Amino acid sequence: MGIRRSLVALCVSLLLAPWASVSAQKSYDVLELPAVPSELAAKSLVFAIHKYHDRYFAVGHHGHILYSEDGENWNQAEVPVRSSLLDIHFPTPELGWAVGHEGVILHSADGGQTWVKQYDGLRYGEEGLAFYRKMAEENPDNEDFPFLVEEMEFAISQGADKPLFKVHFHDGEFGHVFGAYGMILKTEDGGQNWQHVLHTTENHSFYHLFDFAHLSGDARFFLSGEAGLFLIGDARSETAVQVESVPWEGSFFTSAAARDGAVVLGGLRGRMFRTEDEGENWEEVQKPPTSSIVDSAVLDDGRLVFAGIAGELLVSSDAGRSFNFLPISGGGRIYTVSQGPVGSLLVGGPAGIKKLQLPQ
Amino acid sequence: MAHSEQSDLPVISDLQKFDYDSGTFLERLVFNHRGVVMAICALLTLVLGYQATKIELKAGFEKTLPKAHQFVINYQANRNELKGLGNNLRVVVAVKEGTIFTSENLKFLEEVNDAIFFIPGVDRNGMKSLFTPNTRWRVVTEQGFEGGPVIPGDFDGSDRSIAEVKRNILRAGIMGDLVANDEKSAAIIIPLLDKNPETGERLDYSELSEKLEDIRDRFTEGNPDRSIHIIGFAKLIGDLIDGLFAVMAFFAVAVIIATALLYWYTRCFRSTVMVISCTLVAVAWQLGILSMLGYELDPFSILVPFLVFAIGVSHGAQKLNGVLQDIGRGTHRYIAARYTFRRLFLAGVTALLSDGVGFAVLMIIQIQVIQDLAVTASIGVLVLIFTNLILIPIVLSYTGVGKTCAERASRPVKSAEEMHPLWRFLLLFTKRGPAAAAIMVSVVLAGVGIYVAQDLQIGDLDKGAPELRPDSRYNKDVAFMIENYSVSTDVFAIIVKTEPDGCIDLEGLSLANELEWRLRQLEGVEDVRGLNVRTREIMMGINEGFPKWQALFRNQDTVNYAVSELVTLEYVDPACSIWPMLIYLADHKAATLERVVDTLDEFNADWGEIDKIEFMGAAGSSGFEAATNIVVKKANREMLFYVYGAVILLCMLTFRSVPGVICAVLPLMLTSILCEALMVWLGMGVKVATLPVIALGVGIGVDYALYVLTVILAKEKQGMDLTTAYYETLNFTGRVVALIGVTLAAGVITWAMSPIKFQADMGILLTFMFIWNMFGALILMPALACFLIKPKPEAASA
Repeated sequence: MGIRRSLVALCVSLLLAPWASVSAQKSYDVLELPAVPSELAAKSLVFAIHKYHDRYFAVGHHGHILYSEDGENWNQAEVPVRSSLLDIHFPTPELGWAVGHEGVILHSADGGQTWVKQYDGLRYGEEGLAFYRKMAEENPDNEDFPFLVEEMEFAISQGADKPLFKVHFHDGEFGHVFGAYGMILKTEDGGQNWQHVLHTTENHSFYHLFDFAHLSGDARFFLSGEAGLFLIGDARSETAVQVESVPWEGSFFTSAAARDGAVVLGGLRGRMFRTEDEGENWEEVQKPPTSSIVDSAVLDDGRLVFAGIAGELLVSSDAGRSFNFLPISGGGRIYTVSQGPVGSLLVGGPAGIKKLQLPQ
Repeated sequence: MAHSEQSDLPVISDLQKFDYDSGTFLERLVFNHRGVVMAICALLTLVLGYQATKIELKAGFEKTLPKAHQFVINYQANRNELKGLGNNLRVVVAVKEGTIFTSENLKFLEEVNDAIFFIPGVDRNGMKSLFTPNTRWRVVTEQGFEGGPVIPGDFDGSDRSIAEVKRNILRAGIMGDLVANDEKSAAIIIPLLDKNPETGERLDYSELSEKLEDIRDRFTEGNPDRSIHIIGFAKLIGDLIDGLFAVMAFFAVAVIIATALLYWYTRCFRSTVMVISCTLVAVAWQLGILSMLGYELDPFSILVPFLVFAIGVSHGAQKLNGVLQDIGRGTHRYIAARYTFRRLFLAGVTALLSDGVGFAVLMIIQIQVIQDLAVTASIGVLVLIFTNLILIPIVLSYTGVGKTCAERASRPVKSAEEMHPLWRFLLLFTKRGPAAAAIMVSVVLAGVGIYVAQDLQIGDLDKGAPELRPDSRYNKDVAFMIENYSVSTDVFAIIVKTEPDGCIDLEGLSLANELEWRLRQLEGVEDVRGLNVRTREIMMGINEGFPKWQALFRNQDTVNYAVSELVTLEYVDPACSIWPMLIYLADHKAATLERVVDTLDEFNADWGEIDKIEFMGAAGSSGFEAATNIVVKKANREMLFYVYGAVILLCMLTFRSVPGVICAVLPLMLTSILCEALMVWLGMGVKVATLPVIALGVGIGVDYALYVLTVILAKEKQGMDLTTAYYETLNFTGRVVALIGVTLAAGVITWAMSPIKFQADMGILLTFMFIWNMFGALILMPALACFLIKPKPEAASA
């Protein structure tokens, strides 16, 4: 009887289905559509490749998330959105987060095989407005909060237009995401809630935040961004302070922390700078001229690799004081570079992922 | 006595004794006023011959499109707004030693560039190469943008200057576009105007092609280190027109072969020249009529004069045969000509009309060139009725034939002992044993043929421009471009249409991204370009070139800015409502094109409901090929259906016997099957050019059956057994059947040498069909008759 009734219900709903689809205006929204399995995912546009816990991860356009044990055979994850995904981080072998365009934050609890959406840019303005209104009420003397209220009202009017460029989790629960127009959020509960921390970040012009670097075991982290922006953050005090002494006004697209604590920044037109003392003193890195530096990686042996968008690969064995060309070519544009399986590099770009053997 | 065509007409050697009022009205009209008829024909030949000299050669491209297919309708409706499909030429200047980056080689490039600049019809502002001022580099700097021309104003050819040029090329991102990846060559991109600005006339591709060849010769002659490669639609058309002139020369070869055959058959110089001349008159009339009706000769219809000539000669040969035999028997030449007319006019008209059926069936294919072919060929057949069925007998009535050959033609039938071994061989197939063997072999051949023909492909299979041979200069240049530049000549354009100003809509562009992503998943898709792709790239560009911005992010202002740049670059029409999504393919095989079409259909099934944006097929060479393939695939079956339907009907009317129809049609079917198998073996796909072949092969092939079987059936009715009936038939029309087969084949075999690939394919297939149909009629048909047609005893006793 129960089965029969549900069959009848099914028939009725099937009959009504055409009417239902007419009444609901169909729309195409990458935030609502799951990524589609693609044989060619590893050969299409890739924005970031990383190695975590002996596994390789890559993110790309159309909701592509890929994982691999050997850097050659890639599996495509189940992803609930078709946004362009720009970064991925796994603080533990199981728990991972990915971010991208439309302000999307995705989470996986099974080592990257399946993903759920935790957040998208549509929430950014709404939640930010409520939060900063409340803060402004509670702190009437603070001049920043009314300004941030206005900023959030503007964000609402713009919709989910801001990409998140970077994600980093300090442990399985505590993490940050960074993005365009100074967008910065943190979570302390594994992404169930994302809190606005614009007010504790010294980025009053809302410059884009492009990259994140840190030394393991150190609570401090470094944020690099648009127009020479360089911030030193502290995970414990939850503030990020701007370093004013940066000798350049160009954008820093990438940064890497060498093992000796030095920070190397690379960016527009191939310019690279280095500081050993958190911005007290700066030196311009000795390197051959290249196109814009867009990504970097610290290799397992401590060497630093920086990539120019036109396909140049630079390597430093002296903690970033000087760089030379690697005698290998990415064969086309490079958007991202990562340590690969023993003795190799993984590079990614418009033509997908390539494994390059590192010269000894 | 003159009522029955079978009954022998009396031998009258004295003209005085001939009854001028005998024969049909038409015969009396024509022969009693033969002087007038001759004068009219001479006048017509003068007028139409003059008109014929004015006929134009055109290699039109739109005429090859299937005009009723939705893709072509969409293209025609939007062609004026569709930008970015421009009519471009690509010229590449290459060196073999060293690189293009030497002072001398750059000068070579500059000189070629300047020479092309002055060709009328070149859109000089749009020309793009290292040496045009619009080739600039630009980089993002801390302050904004910095840039300049790739070849700086102070370029002096020094090493320092050249190093600067190389740096600028890298900054401009034109490697693989204007400079080959191996640095051994550089490209000049030349947009063409529709009209020659100096004369205001439509651009003459033939003339343009000639000017380009002049430049190629001038700059590379005597210097084996240098080469110039030219591709582009205009050059292709130019080469096709050159090919047409080459084909016209083959006509002379076809005439010589046919003349030789006819002379070998008749051994009569006078009558051979006469038949060939009358048939050439037919060709002249046909061309004259076409010219007066405003038709042009294109690479397809240029074949019609060959066919008309071949058919004309074979019918002329029959008339001649009749006259020869009558004169040999002592009949006066005037009376012999009249007798022949009386005997064969109706049969000739029937045979020509049956050829016409083959042509007429072609009208069902909604492709202009094929319909034109049908019309021109039908006109040709009509003309033949006048020239070869009327004019030839009349001329023969004046000229008569050589005495010796007339006697030779009327020699009495040889006895079975001294007959030709070939005849003896053919007669074998009227006996049950050999007949069964012949049928068994045919069944096996048909089985193998059907098995092989399962692999028959649709469309063109070779790389490069399918119109030309794979090893043609043009296709070698295409291969060179593909190897050294990031270009593909196989482009499928999807027409994307929105309301005016709708091209900036974010959801629409997202949908375009979705379609693009689906297309990129397909095997054989090398790249997809279009407004949505360029918009993403510009959005990255205006954000300092940081790669993570390379996406369609939801910022309307940024999109508006990006698209406004793209309007000026003609990625979209100024109304911001129509743009092409260009799909670059690895090849133009039917399977590749089908995947693209299927993906577009699936996409529209999923998302077509969103009506603010429309994704329609199609333009671009591959888009048209896809449409053509769809039409051709359907037409291929339809055509077989109609042509066999018509042939069966015709046979039914003629034979009034079902077994007779089976005997006539089965050999044709075997030929059709084997023809498809042959296409598989030769690597030919079913395409516009092969469609007419099947129809012509079957339509003309049934002629043989008509000649042979009609006589066999008649003789059997008179009570002869099959062997005797067939022997009589061989002596009466069989010889002519062999002659017709060889003459027809001679007419078309020359096409096999055509520089135009599809003409060569047509030539090979038609030759095969004409010859194989001849064997079918001479071997398989009597074999089938041996089992299917029982001699009628009552007729024997009568």
